Amino acid sequence: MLLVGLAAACSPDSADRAPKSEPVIDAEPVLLQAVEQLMGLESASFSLNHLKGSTVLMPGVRMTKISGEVSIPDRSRVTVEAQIEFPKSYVEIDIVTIQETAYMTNIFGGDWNQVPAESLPFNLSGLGLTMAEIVDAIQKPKVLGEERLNGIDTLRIGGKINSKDLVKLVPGAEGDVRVDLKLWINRGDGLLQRVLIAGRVVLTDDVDTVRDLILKNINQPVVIDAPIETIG
Amino acid sequence: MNQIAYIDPNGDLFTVGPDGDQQVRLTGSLGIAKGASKESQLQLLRMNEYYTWPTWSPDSTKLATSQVIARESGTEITLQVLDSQTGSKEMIYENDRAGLIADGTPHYIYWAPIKNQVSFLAATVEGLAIFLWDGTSGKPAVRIDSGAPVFYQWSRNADVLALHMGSEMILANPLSLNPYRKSFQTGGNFRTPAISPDGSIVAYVDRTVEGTGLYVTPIADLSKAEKIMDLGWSSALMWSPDGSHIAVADQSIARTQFYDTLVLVSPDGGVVTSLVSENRGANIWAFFWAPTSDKLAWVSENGVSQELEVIISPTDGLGIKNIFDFRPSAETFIMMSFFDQYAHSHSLWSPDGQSLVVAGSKGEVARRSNGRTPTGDRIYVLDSNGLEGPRDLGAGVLAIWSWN
Repeated sequence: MLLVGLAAACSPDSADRAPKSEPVIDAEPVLLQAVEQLMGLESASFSLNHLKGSTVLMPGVRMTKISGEVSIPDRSRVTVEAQIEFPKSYVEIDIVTIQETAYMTNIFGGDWNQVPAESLPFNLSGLGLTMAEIVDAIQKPKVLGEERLNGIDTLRIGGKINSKDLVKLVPGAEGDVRVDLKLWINRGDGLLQRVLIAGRVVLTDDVDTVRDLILKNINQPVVIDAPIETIG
Repeated sequence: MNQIAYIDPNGDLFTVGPDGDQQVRLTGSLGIAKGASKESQLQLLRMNEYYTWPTWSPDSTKLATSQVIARESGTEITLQVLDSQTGSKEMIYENDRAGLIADGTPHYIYWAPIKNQVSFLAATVEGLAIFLWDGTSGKPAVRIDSGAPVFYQWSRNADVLALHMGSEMILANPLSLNPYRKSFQTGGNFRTPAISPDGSIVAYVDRTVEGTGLYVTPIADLSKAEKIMDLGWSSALMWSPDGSHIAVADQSIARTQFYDTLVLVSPDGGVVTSLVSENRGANIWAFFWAPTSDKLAWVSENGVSQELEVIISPTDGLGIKNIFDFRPSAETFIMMSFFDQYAHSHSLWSPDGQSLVVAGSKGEVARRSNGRTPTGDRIYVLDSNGLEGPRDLGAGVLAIWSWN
């Protein structure tokens, strides 16, 4: 199906014919392939950035960016960038999970603590499954065009999703607010490369909040060890 | 002294009695020329200048306040100390950069509880710093520490300063002739440490592999720290003025703007009274002990109306009453958001614990039941017993009650 548009465009006598509208690419099978790829995800590096707005991490502390690496199923290493609103200051929080053991630096300082895994603000061990569920929940998907992204030919797909379907990716997501989603999917292998989430996902979001998730180094080997300085 | 300091919408500082009488203008009138027409008087109102965050001295004879003046050459930010009767003022600090420490907040001001010394946070070219002015006219404020984020409390007799800076808990006595400084690390998600009213114990939050908990330790011997309660993701704590309870707001669910539980715990951890439990679905934003220690006020967000509810509860948790719904002014919003710091320096409670003062606009229900209601931020005095309706003192964006 994806090749139909290209085949038509390359036809030898296409220049002699009256212009025709390009065949519409069906987004559903593209998304289906993306879901399958995400279900089989083994590792990736990622960044979730706020192009507009931020996400509340705790009262008075707002996250602006989270980035790191995951090795599925049970290892991750992420850095959270956040702003404390009073007195205004910027902090970084590092989190490492290795199987059942979790380490986290203090929000108000940089020291490592071994902490209960269930107390972590994020659980990224199932990133592939999380993203697969999000892609699967997209309503009325439509191919918006093609785009070369970081050297990869991608299809850009737009759609809507209920805010509560994003809860595993955006902590605190709730409600049935319709959120705009744009996805960039590798035309060759169906791997998800980028997701743009526009709209209020969490009650405390600004209405024009825009989150940008980028996946890189997909299924590349990654080594994640416990931090050297640990307490506890 | 039983006065309210407030900032009017033009950015001038006034004091007023709780009934709206005895109003005194402390800033602003000197800029109006004698004999000028009303129109030209309005033009002479200094639109390029405002005062904010008035802070009562412990004996209520003085007010420290930030002053901001926008000039063509740049913005000038200073910290002024005013006589609360006459308005005569002295500049005690001039910022070296026009930075704010939070939205609309040039300084955080906190008088040491005795000796009329002023501590404050200011943004400097080297970053956030904490300063101390010893009350001597003409003597500049001195920097006593730097770093961010920082939250702190003075002990009641100003013998101890408990600072939570980064992940470090620092205990110091900068006002002593023989100052000491000792510290330890803590991994808890909390802001301001809580010193007991007698100055002997500090309460804080720590996080270990066993989980997060509320700890108390004698300030004289930090090795005797004791966990008295399990806690959730992030917490705020404050000792009652009589030392009988520590009020703790806690988040059982991480990553939200609000706390969902509020409990009172005895300092030995023996008795816990739940004022708000997590299954009540409350969005607790802030709480404030009455000076009388027999009750506290908390502020929660009504998720439907997006307004704040002021709720009063006795310490036994019986007879909880909603006394006012409102939308806070921008300054009150800041104060509520960082209540566990501001409660030590800026009082919403009257000295007798019978009334509260807030700045903002009335909520929808109050507007409907009250006929015509002025628009914009206003100063409201609230009866903590909920027997009388809110008393409107006039237009204003921030109001602070004098200390006991």
